[in-house]
Amino acid sequence: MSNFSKGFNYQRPDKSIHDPTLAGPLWVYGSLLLSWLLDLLPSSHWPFFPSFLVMTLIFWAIHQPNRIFYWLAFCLGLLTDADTGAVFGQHALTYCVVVFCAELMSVRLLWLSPISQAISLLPVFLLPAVLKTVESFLLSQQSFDAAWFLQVLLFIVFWPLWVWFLSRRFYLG
Amino acid sequence: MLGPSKHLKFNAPRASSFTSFGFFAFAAILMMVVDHQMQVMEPVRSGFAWVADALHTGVTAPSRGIEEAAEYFQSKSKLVNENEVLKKRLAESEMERFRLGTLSDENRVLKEMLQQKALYPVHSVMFEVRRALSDGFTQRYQINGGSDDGVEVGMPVVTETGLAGQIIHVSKRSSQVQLIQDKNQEVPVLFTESHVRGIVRGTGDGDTLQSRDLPFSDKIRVGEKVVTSGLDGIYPKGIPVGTVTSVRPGEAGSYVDVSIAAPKSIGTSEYVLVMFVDTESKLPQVEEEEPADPQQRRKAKR
Repeated sequence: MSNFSKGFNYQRPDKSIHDPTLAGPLWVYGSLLLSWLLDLLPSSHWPFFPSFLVMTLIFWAIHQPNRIFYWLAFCLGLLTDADTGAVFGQHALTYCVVVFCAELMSVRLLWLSPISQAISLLPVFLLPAVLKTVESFLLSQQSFDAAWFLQVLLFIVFWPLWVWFLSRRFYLG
Repeated sequence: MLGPSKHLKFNAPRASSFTSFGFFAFAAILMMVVDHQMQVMEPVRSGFAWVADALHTGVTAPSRGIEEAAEYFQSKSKLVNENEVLKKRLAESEMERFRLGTLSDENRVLKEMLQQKALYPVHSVMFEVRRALSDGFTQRYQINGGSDDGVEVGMPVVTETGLAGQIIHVSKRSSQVQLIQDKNQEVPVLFTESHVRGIVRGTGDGDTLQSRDLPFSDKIRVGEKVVTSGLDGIYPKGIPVGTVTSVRPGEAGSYVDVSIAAPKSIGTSEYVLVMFVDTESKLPQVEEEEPADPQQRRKAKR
C-alpha cells in the first residue's frame, strides 16, 4: 500500500485482526481439518444437517481463493468417501462444484453482510442435495430423501455463525 | 468488514480455475462410475480410509483417555459385583457349551450317517464396533478389525442376537459392515417351521426385512423364526435372522409379501463376531450360476 492511500485511510480503525483475508495458512487449513472432523459427529447422520466442510470451503473460496485448490477439495472429498463408505468420488465432486460456484460469486459476496451472503449463497447450498439426488437416481440407489433439501434452511441459519467463528482466527496466524 | 479487504491482492497470480475444476470434476465422475461398476478402487479407498482413521483416532484420543481414566477409578464394589455376576454367567454358559458340544457331536454322527455334507465349525474373531457411518444411502458400521487381522470383504458378521450384516469395505485397521437391514443387502434364508427357502432383502428403515418372491402355495406362518439357509456358501447355515411379522398377498397375486422383524442388533451391542469363512472360492461359483446382468445372459445365449 502506498503512502498516498494511507493518507486517506488514517481515520479508519484497523480491524485487520478479524479480516479473513489476512488469516494465515495455519488457520485456513486448520479450520478445514476441524470442519472435516466436525462432519464426523453423530449430527451428520441427520439428512437435514449441514456440512461444516462445505461452509468452510465456501468461506475460504470467497476470502482466500489463492489458498483453496481443487486438488485439496478433491482429496478432502475422497477422505469423506472412504470414511463414510459412499461411492468413491461422490463427495469429491460435491466439494469441487461447491468451490467453483463460490469462486464465481466471490467478488459480489465480498460486499455483502454475512446474513445477505447466506441468502445469496442459497443456490450453492442447494448443490450438495441436488448432486446427491442426481447420483441416487443415476447409480440406482433408489433412496431419495426429501429431507436433504431441508439442509438449505439450516445452511442459511448456520452460515452467519460460522462466518463469525472463522473470522476470529484465535491468534492462529 | 464489508467489501473486499484492502489487503486482498486482485492481481495475484492464480492457476486457471476452469481447467483445474474441469479436470478434478471429471476425475471425480470417472471414479464414481469405475467404483460403481467394478471393484478396482478398493486399494485406493483402503488407503484413504486409513488416513481418515488416523485423523479420527488422533482427535478422539483425549476423550478416550478421560473415559479410560474414569473407568479406572470406578468403585471397587461395583467391579466385584460385576465379577460375581460374570462368574455365574460363565458357569452357566460353560454348562450350556458342554451340552451343545455333546449335541453337536451327536448331530455330526447323524449327518455322516445320512452322508450329508458336515457343517464345519467356522472360525470367528471378536471385534469392537467403533461408530455408525452415514452417507445418506446406506446403513453401515465401522469395526476395529481390518486386513491386518485377516478380515476380508464378504465375511458375515454376527452378534449375540443373530446375523448383523456383511463386511463391505476393508482397510488396514478397520472395516465397514453393511447391515442386513440395508436395501442393497440380500440374505438367503430358511423359514424354520414351513421349511421354505427364500431370499430376504433389507427395506432400509432399520428393523424390517422383506421377501417378495415367495410362491403363494408356501404356508408361511406369522411368528415363524427365520434363519440363514447357507445356500450361498457365505453365511453359515442356521444363524437367526428374525421373526415373520406379516404375510400378505403381493401385488402380482401369485406371490406373497413376507415382512420379517429383524431389529438392528449391531447398534446396541459393542462387540461383533466376524466369521472367517472362505469368501474367495465361493463367490465365482455364485456368479457363474446366475449372471446378474440381463445383457450378459443374452450374450451367453448367442
